[in-house]
Amino acid sequence: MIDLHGRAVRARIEQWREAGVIDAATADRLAAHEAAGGGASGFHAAFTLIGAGAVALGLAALVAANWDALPIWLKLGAHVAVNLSLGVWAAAAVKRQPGGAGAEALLIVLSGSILAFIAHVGQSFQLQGDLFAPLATWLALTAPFTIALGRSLALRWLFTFGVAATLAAGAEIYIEALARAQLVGACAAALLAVAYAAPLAARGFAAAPLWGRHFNQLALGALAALTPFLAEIGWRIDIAAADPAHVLPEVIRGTVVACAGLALGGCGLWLRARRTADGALVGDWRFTLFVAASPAYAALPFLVGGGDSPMLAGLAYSAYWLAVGWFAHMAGSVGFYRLAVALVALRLFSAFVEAFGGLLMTGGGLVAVGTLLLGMGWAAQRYLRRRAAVQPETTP
Amino acid sequence: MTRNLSRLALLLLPTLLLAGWAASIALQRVAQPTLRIAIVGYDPRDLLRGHYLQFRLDLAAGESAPCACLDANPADALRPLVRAVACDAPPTPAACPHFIESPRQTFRYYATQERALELEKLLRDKPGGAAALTHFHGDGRVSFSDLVAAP
Repeated sequence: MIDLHGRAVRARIEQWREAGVIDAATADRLAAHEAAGGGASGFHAAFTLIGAGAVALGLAALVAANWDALPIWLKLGAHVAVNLSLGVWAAAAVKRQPGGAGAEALLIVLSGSILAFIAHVGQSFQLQGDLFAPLATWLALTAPFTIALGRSLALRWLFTFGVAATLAAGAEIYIEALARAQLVGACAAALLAVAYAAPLAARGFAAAPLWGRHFNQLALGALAALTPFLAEIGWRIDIAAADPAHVLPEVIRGTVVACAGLALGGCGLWLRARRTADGALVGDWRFTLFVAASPAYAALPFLVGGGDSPMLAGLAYSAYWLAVGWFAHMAGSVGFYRLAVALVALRLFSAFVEAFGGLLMTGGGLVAVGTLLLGMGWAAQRYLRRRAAVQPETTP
Repeated sequence: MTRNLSRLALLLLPTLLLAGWAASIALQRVAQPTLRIAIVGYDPRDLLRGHYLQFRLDLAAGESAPCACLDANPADALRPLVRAVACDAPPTPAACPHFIESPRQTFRYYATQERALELEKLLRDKPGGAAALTHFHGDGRVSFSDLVAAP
Protein backbone atom coordinates (compact mmCIF):
# COMPACT_ATOMS: atom_id res chain seq x y z
CA MET A 1 0.00 0.00 0.00
CA ILE A 2 1.34 3.45 -0.90
CA ASP A 3 1.94 5.40 2.27
CA LEU A 4 0.71 8.79 1.06
CA HIS A 5 0.16 10.10 4.56
CA GLY A 6 3.68 9.13 5.68
CA ARG A 7 5.21 10.64 2.57
CA ALA A 8 3.37 13.94 3.15
CA VAL A 9 4.42 14.05 6.81
CA ARG A 10 8.07 13.35 5.98
CA ALA A 11 8.01 16.11 3.36
CA ARG A 12 6.49 18.51 5.89
CA ILE A 13 9.15 17.63 8.49
CA GLU A 14 11.85 18.33 5.90
CA GLN A 15 10.25 21.71 5.11
CA TRP A 16 10.17 22.64 8.81
CA ARG A 17 13.82 21.61 9.19
CA GLU A 18 14.87 23.66 6.16
CA ALA A 19 12.89 26.67 7.39
CA GLY A 20 14.64 26.43 10.76
CA VAL A 21 11.40 25.80 12.69
CA ILE A 22 12.83 22.58 14.13
CA ASP A 23 16.41 21.41 14.48
CA ALA A 24 17.89 18.32 12.82
CA ALA A 25 17.63 16.19 15.97
CA THR A 26 13.90 16.98 16.35
CA ALA A 27 13.36 16.25 12.65
CA ASP A 28 15.07 12.88 13.06
CA ARG A 29 12.96 12.03 16.09
CA LEU A 30 9.73 13.01 14.29
CA ALA A 31 10.71 10.96 11.22
CA ALA A 32 11.55 7.97 13.43
CA HIS A 33 8.20 8.30 15.19
CA GLU A 34 6.37 8.34 11.85
CA ALA A 35 8.38 5.37 10.57
CA ALA A 36 7.48 3.43 13.71
CA GLY A 37 3.80 3.41 12.76
CA GLY A 38 2.51 6.96 12.95
CA GLY A 39 1.61 6.86 9.25
CA ALA A 40 -0.22 3.57 9.47
CA SER A 41 -2.43 4.68 12.37
CA GLY A 42 -4.52 6.91 10.14
CA PHE A 43 -5.34 4.06 7.76
CA HIS A 44 -6.01 1.71 10.61
CA ALA A 45 -8.32 4.22 12.29
CA ALA A 46 -10.17 4.92 9.04
CA PHE A 47 -10.73 1.22 8.29
CA THR A 48 -11.79 0.58 11.89
CA LEU A 49 -14.21 3.49 11.79
CA ILE A 50 -15.74 2.51 8.44
CA GLY A 51 -15.93 -1.18 9.40
CA ALA A 52 -17.46 -0.53 12.82
CA GLY A 53 -19.86 1.97 11.30
CA ALA A 54 -21.01 -0.53 8.67
CA VAL A 55 -21.56 -3.24 11.29
CA ALA A 56 -23.47 -0.84 13.54
CA LEU A 57 -25.65 0.40 10.68
CA GLY A 58 -26.32 -3.17 9.54
CA LEU A 59 -27.35 -4.22 13.04
CA ALA A 60 -29.56 -1.14 13.38
CA ALA A 61 -31.24 -1.94 10.04
CA LEU A 62 -31.84 -5.56 11.07
CA VAL A 63 -33.37 -4.48 14.37
CA ALA A 64 -35.46 -1.74 12.73
CA ALA A 65 -36.85 -4.18 10.15
CA ASN A 66 -38.12 -6.45 12.92
CA TRP A 67 -38.84 -3.81 15.56
CA ASP A 68 -42.55 -4.57 15.94
CA ALA A 69 -41.91 -8.30 16.15
CA LEU A 70 -39.48 -7.98 19.06
CA PRO A 71 -40.97 -8.18 22.57
CA ILE A 72 -40.53 -5.15 24.83
CA TRP A 73 -38.37 -7.00 27.37
CA LEU A 74 -35.96 -8.03 24.62
CA LYS A 75 -35.64 -4.51 23.23
CA LEU A 76 -35.20 -2.90 26.63
CA GLY A 77 -32.93 -5.70 27.84
CA ALA A 78 -30.68 -5.28 24.81
CA HIS A 79 -30.55 -1.54 25.40
CA VAL A 80 -29.58 -2.10 29.07
CA ALA A 81 -26.84 -4.51 27.97
CA VAL A 82 -25.51 -1.98 25.46
CA ASN A 83 -25.46 0.77 28.09
CA LEU A 84 -23.73 -1.43 30.67
CA SER A 85 -21.13 -2.45 28.09
CA LEU A 86 -20.57 1.19 27.18
CA GLY A 87 -20.18 1.99 30.89
CA VAL A 88 -17.55 -0.70 31.44
CA TRP A 89 -15.74 0.28 28.24
CA ALA A 90 -15.80 3.96 29.18
CA ALA A 91 -14.45 3.15 32.67
CA ALA A 92 -11.54 1.24 31.12
CA ALA A 93 -10.87 4.03 28.60
CA VAL A 94 -10.93 6.73 31.30
CA LYS A 95 -8.54 4.69 33.43
CA ARG A 96 -6.18 4.14 30.49
CA GLN A 97 -6.13 7.73 29.25
CA PRO A 98 -8.23 10.29 31.16
CA GLY A 99 -9.44 12.98 28.77
CA GLY A 100 -8.35 10.97 25.72
CA ALA A 101 -10.43 11.11 22.56
CA GLY A 102 -11.66 7.53 23.02
CA ALA A 103 -12.73 8.08 26.62
CA GLU A 104 -14.51 11.34 25.84
CA ALA A 105 -16.30 9.82 22.83
CA LEU A 106 -17.48 6.90 24.95
CA LEU A 107 -18.77 9.23 27.67
CA ILE A 108 -20.72 11.21 25.07
CA VAL A 109 -22.15 8.03 23.51
CA LEU A 110 -23.09 6.65 26.94
CA SER A 111 -24.76 9.92 27.90
CA GLY A 112 -26.76 9.93 24.66
CA SER A 113 -27.66 6.28 25.02
CA ILE A 114 -28.99 6.87 28.56
CA LEU A 115 -31.24 9.63 27.22
CA ALA A 116 -32.33 7.29 24.43
CA PHE A 117 -33.12 4.61 27.01
CA ILE A 118 -35.42 6.97 28.92
CA ALA A 119 -37.23 7.73 25.66
CA HIS A 120 -37.27 4.02 24.83
CA VAL A 121 -39.01 3.16 28.13
CA GLY A 122 -41.49 5.99 27.59
CA GLN A 123 -42.32 4.74 24.11
CA SER A 124 -42.48 1.08 25.13
CA PHE A 125 -45.01 1.70 27.89
CA GLN A 126 -46.70 4.62 26.09
CA LEU A 127 -46.09 6.88 29.10
CA GLN A 128 -47.69 10.31 28.86
CA GLY A 129 -46.07 13.50 30.06
CA ASP A 130 -43.99 16.54 29.22
CA LEU A 131 -40.40 16.87 28.08
CA PHE A 132 -39.10 18.22 31.39
CA ALA A 133 -39.30 15.00 33.44
CA PRO A 134 -37.22 12.82 31.08
CA LEU A 135 -34.64 15.58 30.50
CA ALA A 136 -34.31 16.30 34.25
CA THR A 137 -33.95 12.57 34.97
CA TRP A 138 -31.28 12.25 32.30
CA LEU A 139 -29.40 15.26 33.64
CA ALA A 140 -29.54 14.04 37.25
CA LEU A 141 -28.25 10.60 36.24
CA THR A 142 -25.50 11.67 33.86
CA ALA A 143 -24.24 14.85 35.59
CA PRO A 144 -22.12 12.97 38.19
CA PHE A 145 -20.03 11.02 35.67
CA THR A 146 -19.99 13.87 33.14
CA ILE A 147 -18.54 16.35 35.63
CA ALA A 148 -16.30 13.86 37.43
CA LEU A 149 -14.78 12.21 34.36
CA GLY A 150 -15.42 14.42 31.32
CA ARG A 151 -12.81 16.93 30.22
CA SER A 152 -13.32 17.73 26.55
CA LEU A 153 -14.89 20.93 25.31
CA ALA A 154 -17.49 18.85 23.42
CA LEU A 155 -18.65 17.10 26.58
CA ARG A 156 -18.73 20.33 28.58
CA TRP A 157 -20.89 22.00 25.96
CA LEU A 158 -23.10 18.94 25.59
CA PHE A 159 -23.73 19.15 29.33
CA THR A 160 -24.36 22.90 29.09
CA PHE A 161 -26.91 22.43 26.30
CA GLY A 162 -28.52 19.66 28.35
CA VAL A 163 -28.90 22.00 31.31
CA ALA A 164 -30.27 24.77 29.08
CA ALA A 165 -32.77 22.42 27.39
CA THR A 166 -33.94 21.08 30.74
CA LEU A 167 -34.36 24.57 32.17
CA ALA A 168 -36.25 25.73 29.09
CA ALA A 169 -38.57 22.70 29.26
CA GLY A 170 -39.12 23.27 32.98
CA ALA A 171 -39.73 27.00 32.58
CA GLU A 172 -42.33 26.37 29.90
CA ILE A 173 -44.35 24.27 32.31
CA TYR A 174 -43.70 25.72 35.75
CA ILE A 175 -42.70 29.38 35.40
CA GLU A 176 -46.22 30.75 35.91
CA ALA A 177 -46.89 28.51 38.89
CA LEU A 178 -43.52 29.44 40.43
CA ALA A 179 -44.22 33.12 39.85
CA ARG A 180 -47.64 32.82 41.50
CA ALA A 181 -46.02 31.09 44.48
CA GLN A 182 -43.26 33.76 44.44
CA LEU A 183 -40.60 31.09 44.24
CA VAL A 184 -38.75 32.16 41.08
CA GLY A 185 -36.05 33.94 43.10
CA ALA A 186 -35.57 30.94 45.41
CA CYS A 187 -35.33 28.59 42.42
CA ALA A 188 -32.82 30.85 40.66
CA ALA A 189 -30.69 30.99 43.83
CA ALA A 190 -30.87 27.20 44.27
CA LEU A 191 -29.90 26.66 40.64
CA LEU A 192 -26.88 28.95 40.98
CA ALA A 193 -25.82 27.26 44.20
CA VAL A 194 -25.89 23.89 42.42
CA ALA A 195 -24.02 25.29 39.40
CA TYR A 196 -21.22 26.68 41.58
CA ALA A 197 -21.18 23.67 43.90
CA ALA A 198 -20.86 21.13 41.07
CA PRO A 199 -17.14 21.71 40.38
CA LEU A 200 -16.47 21.84 44.12
CA ALA A 201 -18.21 18.50 44.57
CA ALA A 202 -15.96 17.06 41.89
CA ARG A 203 -12.78 18.65 43.31
CA GLY A 204 -11.25 15.25 44.02
CA PHE A 205 -11.20 14.55 40.31
CA ALA A 206 -8.63 15.86 37.89
CA ALA A 207 -11.31 17.38 35.64
CA ALA A 208 -12.56 19.79 38.35
CA PRO A 209 -10.40 22.83 37.34
CA LEU A 210 -11.64 22.57 33.75
CA TRP A 211 -15.24 22.50 34.91
CA GLY A 212 -14.59 25.39 37.29
CA ARG A 213 -13.28 27.47 34.38
CA HIS A 214 -16.20 26.39 32.20
CA PHE A 215 -18.78 27.43 34.82
CA ASN A 216 -16.87 30.67 35.35
CA GLN A 217 -17.15 31.54 31.67
CA LEU A 218 -20.80 30.51 31.60
CA ALA A 219 -21.54 32.62 34.68
CA LEU A 220 -19.97 35.74 33.22
CA GLY A 221 -21.52 35.08 29.80
CA ALA A 222 -24.98 34.58 31.30
CA LEU A 223 -24.60 37.72 33.40
CA ALA A 224 -23.48 39.72 30.39
CA ALA A 225 -26.51 38.49 28.44
CA LEU A 226 -29.10 38.78 31.23
CA THR A 227 -28.25 42.21 32.62
CA PRO A 228 -28.80 44.41 29.54
CA PHE A 229 -31.69 42.20 28.40
CA LEU A 230 -33.50 42.67 31.71
CA ALA A 231 -32.71 46.37 31.83
CA GLU A 232 -33.98 46.80 28.26
CA ILE A 233 -37.33 45.25 29.24
CA GLY A 234 -37.52 47.71 32.11
CA TRP A 235 -36.68 50.72 29.97
CA ARG A 236 -39.19 49.67 27.29
CA ILE A 237 -42.32 49.03 29.36
CA ASP A 238 -44.56 50.63 31.96
CA ILE A 239 -44.47 47.84 34.52
CA ALA A 240 -47.70 48.45 36.43
CA ALA A 241 -49.71 48.80 33.21
CA ALA A 242 -48.03 45.85 31.50
CA ASP A 243 -48.69 43.29 34.19
CA PRO A 244 -51.61 43.93 36.52
CA ALA A 245 -51.35 40.42 37.98
CA HIS A 246 -47.76 41.21 39.16
CA VAL A 247 -46.49 37.92 37.74
CA LEU A 248 -43.80 39.74 35.77
CA PRO A 249 -42.18 41.50 38.77
CA GLU A 250 -41.71 38.14 40.51
CA VAL A 251 -40.05 36.69 37.41
CA ILE A 252 -37.90 39.81 37.27
CA ARG A 253 -36.99 39.47 40.96
CA GLY A 254 -35.92 35.91 40.18
CA THR A 255 -33.80 37.10 37.29
CA VAL A 256 -32.20 39.79 39.46
CA VAL A 257 -31.38 37.12 42.05
CA ALA A 258 -29.83 35.09 39.24
CA CYS A 259 -27.86 38.13 38.05
CA ALA A 260 -26.62 38.82 41.58
CA GLY A 261 -25.54 35.22 42.05
CA LEU A 262 -23.84 35.15 38.67
CA ALA A 263 -22.09 38.43 39.41
CA LEU A 264 -20.77 37.38 42.81
CA GLY A 265 -19.85 33.87 41.79
CA GLY A 266 -18.43 35.03 38.49
CA CYS A 267 -16.28 37.67 40.18
CA GLY A 268 -14.99 35.20 42.73
CA LEU A 269 -14.09 32.64 40.12
CA TRP A 270 -12.69 35.27 37.79
CA LEU A 271 -10.42 36.67 40.46
CA ARG A 272 -9.28 33.21 41.46
CA ALA A 273 -8.61 32.28 37.86
CA ARG A 274 -6.70 35.47 37.15
CA ARG A 275 -3.99 35.21 39.78
CA THR A 276 -0.35 34.75 39.00
CA ALA A 277 1.64 31.88 40.44
CA ASP A 278 2.65 34.00 43.45
CA GLY A 279 -1.01 34.88 44.19
CA ALA A 280 -1.07 38.45 42.84
CA LEU A 281 -4.17 39.61 40.98
CA VAL A 282 -3.98 39.92 37.20
CA GLY A 283 -5.99 42.52 35.33
CA ASP A 284 -8.03 45.44 36.57
CA TRP A 285 -10.26 45.43 39.68
CA ARG A 286 -12.60 47.98 38.06
CA PHE A 287 -13.94 45.36 35.65
CA THR A 288 -14.72 43.09 38.61
CA LEU A 289 -16.52 45.95 40.37
CA PHE A 290 -18.48 46.70 37.21
CA VAL A 291 -19.56 43.05 36.89
CA ALA A 292 -20.57 42.92 40.57
CA ALA A 293 -22.69 46.07 40.13
CA SER A 294 -24.52 44.75 37.06
CA PRO A 295 -27.53 43.33 39.00
CA ALA A 296 -28.16 46.77 40.51
CA TYR A 297 -28.22 48.25 37.00
CA ALA A 298 -30.56 45.47 35.82
CA ALA A 299 -32.99 46.28 38.66
CA LEU A 300 -32.79 50.06 38.22
CA PRO A 301 -35.52 50.56 35.57
CA PHE A 302 -37.91 48.39 37.59
CA LEU A 303 -37.24 50.33 40.75
CA VAL A 304 -38.22 53.55 38.96
CA GLY A 305 -41.37 51.96 37.47
CA GLY A 306 -40.09 51.31 33.94
CA GLY A 307 -39.06 53.70 31.20
CA ASP A 308 -41.79 53.16 28.57
CA SER A 309 -39.31 54.25 25.87
CA PRO A 310 -37.80 52.02 23.16
CA MET A 311 -35.25 54.71 22.32
CA LEU A 312 -34.09 54.94 25.93
CA ALA A 313 -33.92 51.13 25.99
CA GLY A 314 -31.70 51.05 22.90
CA LEU A 315 -29.39 53.77 24.21
CA ALA A 316 -29.13 52.09 27.62
CA TYR A 317 -28.32 48.75 25.99
CA SER A 318 -25.58 50.25 23.85
CA ALA A 319 -24.21 52.25 26.80
CA TYR A 320 -24.02 49.10 28.94
CA TRP A 321 -22.07 47.20 26.30
CA LEU A 322 -19.81 50.16 25.58
CA ALA A 323 -19.03 50.18 29.30
CA VAL A 324 -18.35 46.43 29.19
CA GLY A 325 -16.02 47.04 26.25
CA TRP A 326 -14.21 49.85 28.06
CA PHE A 327 -13.75 47.97 31.35
CA ALA A 328 -12.78 44.79 29.50
CA HIS A 329 -10.17 46.83 27.62
CA MET A 330 -8.83 48.18 30.92
CA ALA A 331 -8.71 44.65 32.36
CA GLY A 332 -7.09 43.17 29.29
CA SER A 333 -10.04 40.83 28.73
CA VAL A 334 -10.00 40.51 24.95
CA GLY A 335 -12.90 38.03 24.78
CA PHE A 336 -15.31 40.39 26.50
CA TYR A 337 -14.02 43.34 24.49
CA ARG A 338 -14.77 41.51 21.22
CA LEU A 339 -18.20 40.46 22.48
CA ALA A 340 -19.05 44.03 23.50
CA VAL A 341 -18.03 45.47 20.11
CA ALA A 342 -20.03 42.82 18.27
CA LEU A 343 -23.16 43.36 20.38
CA VAL A 344 -23.08 47.16 20.10
CA ALA A 345 -22.70 46.77 16.35
CA LEU A 346 -25.65 44.37 16.18
CA ARG A 347 -27.80 46.68 18.31
CA LEU A 348 -27.00 49.61 16.04
CA PHE A 349 -27.85 47.47 13.03
CA SER A 350 -31.25 46.49 14.47
CA ALA A 351 -31.91 50.12 15.47
CA PHE A 352 -31.32 51.27 11.90
CA VAL A 353 -33.58 48.56 10.47
CA GLU A 354 -36.23 49.48 13.04
CA ALA A 355 -35.95 53.22 12.44
CA PHE A 356 -36.09 53.31 8.62
CA GLY A 357 -39.41 52.51 6.99
CA GLY A 358 -39.92 51.79 3.26
CA LEU A 359 -37.59 49.98 0.86
CA LEU A 360 -35.59 53.03 -0.27
CA MET A 361 -34.96 54.30 3.27
CA THR A 362 -34.21 50.78 4.51
CA GLY A 363 -31.67 50.37 1.69
CA GLY A 364 -30.03 53.68 2.59
CA GLY A 365 -30.04 52.74 6.25
CA LEU A 366 -28.44 49.37 5.54
CA VAL A 367 -25.68 51.02 3.49
CA ALA A 368 -25.09 53.52 6.29
CA VAL A 369 -25.05 50.97 9.09
CA GLY A 370 -22.98 48.54 7.02
CA THR A 371 -20.35 51.23 6.50
CA LEU A 372 -20.41 52.00 10.21
CA LEU A 373 -19.98 48.33 11.11
CA LEU A 374 -17.10 47.93 8.65
CA GLY A 375 -15.42 50.92 10.26
CA MET A 376 -15.93 49.53 13.76
CA GLY A 377 -14.62 46.13 12.68
CA TRP A 378 -11.55 47.72 11.11
CA ALA A 379 -10.90 49.80 14.23
CA ALA A 380 -11.33 46.78 16.51
CA GLN A 381 -9.02 44.67 14.36
CA ARG A 382 -6.37 47.41 14.35
CA TYR A 383 -6.63 47.80 18.10
CA LEU A 384 -6.35 44.04 18.71
CA ARG A 385 -3.31 43.72 16.43
CA ARG A 386 -1.58 46.60 18.19
CA ARG A 387 -2.47 45.12 21.55
CA ALA A 388 -1.28 41.63 20.57
CA ALA A 389 2.07 43.11 19.61
CA VAL A 390 2.41 44.73 23.05
CA GLN A 391 1.35 41.85 25.31
CA PRO A 392 0.14 38.24 24.97
CA GLU A 393 -3.63 37.69 24.76
CA THR A 394 -5.49 36.92 27.98
CA THR A 395 -9.03 35.77 28.38
CA PRO A 396 -11.16 35.50 31.53
CA MET B 1 -9.04 0.19 43.67
CA THR B 2 -11.63 2.39 45.40
CA ARG B 3 -11.27 4.95 42.62
CA ASN B 4 -11.81 2.25 39.98
CA LEU B 5 -14.94 1.06 41.73
CA SER B 6 -16.35 4.56 42.18
CA ARG B 7 -15.67 5.30 38.49
CA LEU B 8 -17.45 2.11 37.48
CA ALA B 9 -20.34 2.89 39.82
CA LEU B 10 -20.72 6.38 38.34
CA LEU B 11 -20.93 4.93 34.84
CA LEU B 12 -23.15 1.91 35.56
CA LEU B 13 -25.56 3.20 38.20
CA PRO B 14 -27.64 5.38 35.82
CA THR B 15 -28.41 2.37 33.60
CA LEU B 16 -29.13 0.09 36.56
CA LEU B 17 -31.49 2.65 38.11
CA LEU B 18 -33.31 3.11 34.81
CA ALA B 19 -33.53 -0.65 34.30
CA GLY B 20 -35.12 -0.89 37.75
CA TRP B 21 -37.56 1.85 36.83
CA ALA B 22 -38.55 0.02 33.62
CA ALA B 23 -39.00 -3.24 35.54
CA SER B 24 -41.17 -1.53 38.15
CA ILE B 25 -43.40 -0.08 35.42
CA ALA B 26 -43.79 -3.54 33.90
CA LEU B 27 -44.60 -5.09 37.28
CA GLN B 28 -47.07 -2.36 38.25
CA ARG B 29 -48.76 -2.62 34.88
CA VAL B 30 -49.80 -6.22 35.59
CA ALA B 31 -51.79 -5.09 38.63
CA GLN B 32 -53.24 -1.91 37.16
CA PRO B 33 -56.95 -1.83 36.28
CA THR B 34 -57.61 -1.38 32.57
CA LEU B 35 -60.43 -0.32 30.27
CA ARG B 36 -60.61 -0.47 26.51
CA ILE B 37 -61.77 2.99 25.44
CA ALA B 38 -62.67 4.33 21.99
CA ILE B 39 -60.50 7.20 20.78
CA VAL B 40 -60.84 10.09 18.33
CA GLY B 41 -58.09 11.97 16.52
CA TYR B 42 -57.14 15.23 18.22
CA ASP B 43 -56.82 17.25 15.03
CA PRO B 44 -58.19 15.74 11.79
CA ARG B 45 -55.67 17.75 9.72
CA ASP B 46 -52.67 16.65 11.73
CA LEU B 47 -53.16 13.36 13.55
CA LEU B 48 -49.56 12.31 13.28
CA ARG B 49 -46.58 14.14 14.76
CA GLY B 50 -43.59 12.12 13.62
CA HIS B 51 -44.22 8.65 14.96
CA TYR B 52 -46.79 9.86 17.50
CA LEU B 53 -50.52 9.58 16.95
CA GLN B 54 -52.36 12.33 18.80
CA PHE B 55 -55.77 11.44 20.15
CA ARG B 56 -58.40 11.99 22.83
CA LEU B 57 -60.56 9.51 24.66
CA ASP B 58 -64.04 9.27 23.13
CA LEU B 59 -65.95 9.50 26.40
CA ALA B 60 -69.62 9.98 27.15
CA ALA B 61 -70.91 13.34 28.42
CA GLY B 62 -69.20 14.92 31.43
CA GLU B 63 -65.67 14.40 30.24
CA SER B 64 -64.79 18.07 30.70
CA ALA B 65 -64.38 17.54 34.47
CA PRO B 66 -60.80 18.20 35.65
CA CYS B 67 -60.76 14.83 37.44
CA ALA B 68 -63.10 11.90 36.92
CA CYS B 69 -63.90 8.27 37.60
CA LEU B 70 -64.68 6.21 34.54
CA ASP B 71 -67.41 3.63 35.10
CA ALA B 72 -68.51 0.83 32.80
CA ASN B 73 -71.29 1.87 30.42
CA PRO B 74 -73.86 -0.90 29.85
CA ALA B 75 -75.04 0.84 26.66
CA ASP B 76 -71.59 1.17 25.06
CA ALA B 77 -68.66 -0.89 26.30
CA LEU B 78 -66.06 1.34 24.60
CA ARG B 79 -67.40 4.66 25.94
CA PRO B 80 -67.37 4.55 29.75
CA LEU B 81 -69.50 6.89 31.85
CA VAL B 82 -67.75 9.87 33.39
CA ARG B 83 -68.29 10.69 37.06
CA ALA B 84 -66.67 13.96 38.13
CA VAL B 85 -64.65 13.83 41.37
CA ALA B 86 -62.53 16.29 43.33
CA CYS B 87 -58.88 16.39 42.23
CA ASP B 88 -57.54 17.34 45.67
CA ALA B 89 -59.38 14.50 47.45
CA PRO B 90 -59.49 11.61 44.99
CA PRO B 91 -61.58 8.56 45.92
CA THR B 92 -59.97 5.32 47.06
CA PRO B 93 -58.97 2.78 44.38
CA ALA B 94 -61.76 0.51 45.63
CA ALA B 95 -64.37 3.22 45.11
CA CYS B 96 -62.84 4.44 41.85
CA PRO B 97 -60.53 1.97 40.09
CA HIS B 98 -60.48 4.06 36.91
CA PHE B 99 -59.45 7.47 38.24
CA ILE B 100 -58.16 9.93 35.62
CA GLU B 101 -56.92 13.51 35.64
CA SER B 102 -57.87 15.77 32.73
CA PRO B 103 -59.82 13.18 30.76
CA ARG B 104 -60.06 15.67 27.86
CA GLN B 105 -56.31 16.03 27.48
CA THR B 106 -54.55 15.04 24.28
CA PHE B 107 -52.63 11.79 24.53
CA ARG B 108 -49.84 10.46 22.35
CA TYR B 109 -49.28 6.95 21.10
CA TYR B 110 -45.90 5.95 19.72
CA ALA B 111 -45.92 3.56 16.77
CA THR B 112 -43.56 2.61 13.99
CA GLN B 113 -44.05 4.52 10.76
CA GLU B 114 -46.19 1.91 8.95
CA ARG B 115 -48.33 1.22 12.00
CA ALA B 116 -48.78 4.93 12.67
CA LEU B 117 -50.03 5.47 9.12
CA GLU B 118 -52.49 2.56 9.50
CA LEU B 119 -53.84 4.01 12.73
CA GLU B 120 -54.12 7.45 11.21
CA LYS B 121 -56.18 6.05 8.33
CA LEU B 122 -58.35 4.16 10.76
CA LEU B 123 -59.19 7.28 12.75
CA ARG B 124 -59.58 9.48 9.70
CA ASP B 125 -62.03 7.09 8.01
CA LYS B 126 -64.14 6.59 11.12
CA PRO B 127 -63.84 8.83 14.21
CA GLY B 128 -63.97 6.53 17.22
CA GLY B 129 -63.00 3.67 14.95
CA ALA B 130 -60.07 2.66 17.14
CA ALA B 131 -59.83 1.75 20.81
CA ALA B 132 -56.93 1.96 23.26
CA LEU B 133 -56.30 -0.40 26.15
CA THR B 134 -55.96 2.15 28.92
CA HIS B 135 -54.02 1.44 32.12
CA PHE B 136 -54.97 3.46 35.21
CA HIS B 137 -52.00 4.18 37.50
CA GLY B 138 -54.20 5.11 40.47
CA ASP B 139 -52.88 8.67 40.84
CA GLY B 140 -54.76 10.13 37.88
CA ARG B 141 -52.17 9.23 35.27
CA VAL B 142 -52.89 6.75 32.50
CA SER B 143 -50.85 4.94 29.88
CA PHE B 144 -51.67 2.70 26.96
CA SER B 145 -50.52 -0.70 25.84
CA ASP B 146 -52.52 -1.53 22.77
CA LEU B 147 -54.36 0.38 20.09
CA VAL B 148 -56.59 -1.58 17.72
CA ALA B 149 -59.60 -1.14 15.46
CA ALA B 150 -62.83 -0.86 17.43
CA PRO B 151 -65.17 -3.81 16.88
